[in-house]
Amino acid sequence: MNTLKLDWSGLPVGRPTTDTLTDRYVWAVLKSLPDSKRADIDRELRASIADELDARIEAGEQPADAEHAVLTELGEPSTLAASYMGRRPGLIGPDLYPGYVALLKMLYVIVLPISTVAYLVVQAFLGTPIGGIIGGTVAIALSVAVHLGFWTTLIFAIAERAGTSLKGVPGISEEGPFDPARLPSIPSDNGASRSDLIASLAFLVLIPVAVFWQFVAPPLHDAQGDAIPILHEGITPFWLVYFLVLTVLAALRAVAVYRRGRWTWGLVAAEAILAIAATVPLIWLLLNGMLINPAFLDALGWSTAVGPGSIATTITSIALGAIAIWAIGDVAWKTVKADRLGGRA
Amino acid sequence: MSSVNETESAQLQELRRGTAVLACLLMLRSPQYGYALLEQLSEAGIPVEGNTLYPLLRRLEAQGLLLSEWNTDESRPRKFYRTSTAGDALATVLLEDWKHLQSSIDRIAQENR
Repeated sequence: MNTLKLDWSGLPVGRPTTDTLTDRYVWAVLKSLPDSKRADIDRELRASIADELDARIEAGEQPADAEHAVLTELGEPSTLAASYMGRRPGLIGPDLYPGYVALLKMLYVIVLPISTVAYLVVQAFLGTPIGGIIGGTVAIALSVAVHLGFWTTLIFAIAERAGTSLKGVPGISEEGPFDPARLPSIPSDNGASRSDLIASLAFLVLIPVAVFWQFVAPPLHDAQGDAIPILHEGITPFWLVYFLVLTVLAALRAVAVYRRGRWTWGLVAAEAILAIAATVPLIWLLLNGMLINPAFLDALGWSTAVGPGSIATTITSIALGAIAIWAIGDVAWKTVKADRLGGRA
Repeated sequence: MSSVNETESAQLQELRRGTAVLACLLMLRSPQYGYALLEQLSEAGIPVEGNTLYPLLRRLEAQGLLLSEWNTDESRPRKFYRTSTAGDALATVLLEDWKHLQSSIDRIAQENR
């Protein structure tokens, strides 16, 4: 049973009752259009197609070929529908897109690491077994990454369709047009800028602070309420002084790079010596179970997994070595680049 | 080779994009319907494709530059468009600008033979 509704114009509206190519085409176009516009575009488009068909058939074309040609010329139905709506096909338009990308970058650089590290730390103090921590952290990182991407994209897609502009959103777009005075300065990548120096010194300062802190106020307490230090109690003062001296030398090295303005092969050699002098003893202490306090590991419930000779210590040693190698390679590469830019070291 | 033709036809399309609006506003001083207007434009030397023209007519009507009316005299009802007063005023402005552009381009071409 087909209900053929005719409106005042005598043309059928609503679901077509025949199945010609034209019917299918117009149906495909109307699908993506809002109800209010459908009837009018339906009639007009059919009339235009029919007019062109008549003209072509009069000129001698076969009806089927003519229909095929006309519809092909009109093109992809969804594209035509978008033209009718005055919209270009796309999820997020050119005016919203820069803000979208800026927001995504901020979120991934700030929120993702923080939430992942927070989860890691919390799980560590809850005493979850190490396999669970690693698996959980990876899962959390993936989940946060997906959510950040999805909801940001969704919100911007909705904003695009709602016709919003970014004015008045703090931090994403300032009021008014682009102002050259607000351009950020070019970051230097030769590793000898002031921000590099500050970062190095801040990191180096943290080391003695952390060592001191874990003696005085470590996070875990044993059954008697006494503090459990993280570092092995048998760590002789020799080692403490040794690493402290290394820290001071590393700070001096950082200042030297800053003063020199660039990395040089001499400074690379200094960095290499410092890195090896720090990493080799660390690995040796770690592998011999003399670095971490066993009572601390017990309190965490990690001793079997992380004791000397375990996989965790092996992996940590390898990681420490890799970090040292990377550090040396990185500054060597910076020296090579600086050499290329002009002037031998 | 075909990419050169694609570039050429893309640039030609860009050039014609502005003139299509002016041509419609001028032609629709006498009422006309979709396909007939398309044929008229083509004969006048401003070919515009259907998938550009039909949405364009609706857009111009939404902007108040055209008026439309369904004509049910014949067996196939058709939507006739006509330039409104606002459209007429705009057409005059665009035409002036068009003449200026034409003389400017001519002058540039002359000076840079």
